[in-house]
Amino acid sequence: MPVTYTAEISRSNPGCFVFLVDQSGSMSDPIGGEAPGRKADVVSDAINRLLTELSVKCAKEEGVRDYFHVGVIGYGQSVGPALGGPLSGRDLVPLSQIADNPARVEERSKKVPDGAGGLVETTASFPVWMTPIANGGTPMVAALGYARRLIGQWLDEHPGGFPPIVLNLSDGESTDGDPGIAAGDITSLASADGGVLLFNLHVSSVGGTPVEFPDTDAGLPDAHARTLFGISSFLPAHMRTYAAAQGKKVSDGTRGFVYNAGISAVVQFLDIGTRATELR
Amino acid sequence: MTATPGYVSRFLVPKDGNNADQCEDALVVWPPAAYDEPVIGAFLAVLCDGASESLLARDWANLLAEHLADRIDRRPGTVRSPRAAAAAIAEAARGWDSWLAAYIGRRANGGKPLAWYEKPGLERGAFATVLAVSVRPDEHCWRWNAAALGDTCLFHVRDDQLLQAFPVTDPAEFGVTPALAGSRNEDAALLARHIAVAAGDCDSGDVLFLATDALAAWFLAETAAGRQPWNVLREFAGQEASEFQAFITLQRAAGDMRNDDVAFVHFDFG
Repeated sequence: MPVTYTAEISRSNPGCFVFLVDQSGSMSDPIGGEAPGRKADVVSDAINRLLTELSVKCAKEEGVRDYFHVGVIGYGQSVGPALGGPLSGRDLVPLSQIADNPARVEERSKKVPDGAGGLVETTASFPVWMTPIANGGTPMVAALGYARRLIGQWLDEHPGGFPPIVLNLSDGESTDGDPGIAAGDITSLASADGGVLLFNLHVSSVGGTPVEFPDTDAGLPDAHARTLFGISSFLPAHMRTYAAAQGKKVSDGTRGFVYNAGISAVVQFLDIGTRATELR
Repeated sequence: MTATPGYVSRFLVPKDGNNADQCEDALVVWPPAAYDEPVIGAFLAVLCDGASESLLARDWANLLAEHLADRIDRRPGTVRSPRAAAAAIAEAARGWDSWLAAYIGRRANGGKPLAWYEKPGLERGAFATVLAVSVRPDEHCWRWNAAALGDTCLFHVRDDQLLQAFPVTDPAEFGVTPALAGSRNEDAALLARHIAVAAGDCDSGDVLFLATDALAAWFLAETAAGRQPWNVLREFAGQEASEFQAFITLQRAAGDMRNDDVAFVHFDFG
């Protein structure tokens, strides 16, 4: 059996991320549980954090290296590119252009350790590429089809690359049919290094306990969550190792699915070289 | 009777797709003898492999290697105990903030102030592995002492056999999370807990190879497969850097070596 998900990710052999963002009217509802905010706020915040983490991970002193091509596709009233600012209207964009072209950079205050056991307030840059939108239906099947076309073209140009990752951020209430077949069309695509990975972040008003990378749908609160779990890819072995290192319980059945929780951990599942890790 | 002279050669090859300025492996050999120039006194080498996921890894690797080389030159005992090596690494880290302040000043003066995506990485600091080796002659042989943090390796070969591999002995042990010296880590006690030391005596005809992880992993894999990689590598002594680079490129293309920067030092005794 060939070894998969081991292709080098580099500027000459980049990886590919496609983020699908649910911008339907139901995303204006509040997210369930203790975390405040609307679902639309949560997913746009998640996208901004993911793009920030990817940029920081690939930053070198001469700029951000193009280790990834990134697309952010919205679906609601229509299906299409969702980045704001100078990148508006673009599908797949080299990461350096993402990093250099946020719509704006906000300075937000945060508390950091002061070295003497206390906390001190400081500011951190928070770039913003997309703002919350909640309008129209939830054409998830059409969005998955859009991603399939982007990825098919990308794979033609990068047949040996690390398999593309599609990350769908949604409340799961598809209004244009069962997303299962469209999801299967995506995950049946492959590079020489393995099949395309489809992960899902489910934001829900139902609430309940947040779930990260489960291996069963038994604890999920409703049919939408179970649907999105069911179309999520199994985590490849090395990603399970990194998830376990982050303290998550994993098994061979662990899937790329998160319920009402952060998803930016997925950036740390990718290897672009020796990791900058502190001694313990 | 005195120890036979030693001969040293060194190579630095960036990963495919990068130019020499982007190589994040650092290498200091002292004295800087040519490959055919006999070395009869003490000599030393320091190899540092900057972690690619950190900013300014090349600068930190260079600063660390130069600082350690200077320290070992003045105090050879620096590589004889984890505590002494850790103190030297922590001392290098204490110089980082002033270096970084000057760097940030140069960037601002050059019209290229820090971008938002650089700041988190600079706060975290730069990271690198360390292999520091001191080789000194006595009346009969050469004695080497080495201190290592991470997966940059020393191989001691005698009579067509791998006598010692340090600190990694199994090719499966290489990964993307080696122990690293951080430019903001001044905790000598913590560093000492992760530093390994080793020593050995070299007879006439012995060879020491020092290599950063990609070449070291290839070396151990070849050895495990029953081959003699030392015979391949010692052929490059005295050859042009382009010859060694072509060899590395070939191994990468064949899938036998990871595409990573390579620092390589070869000591030949007699």
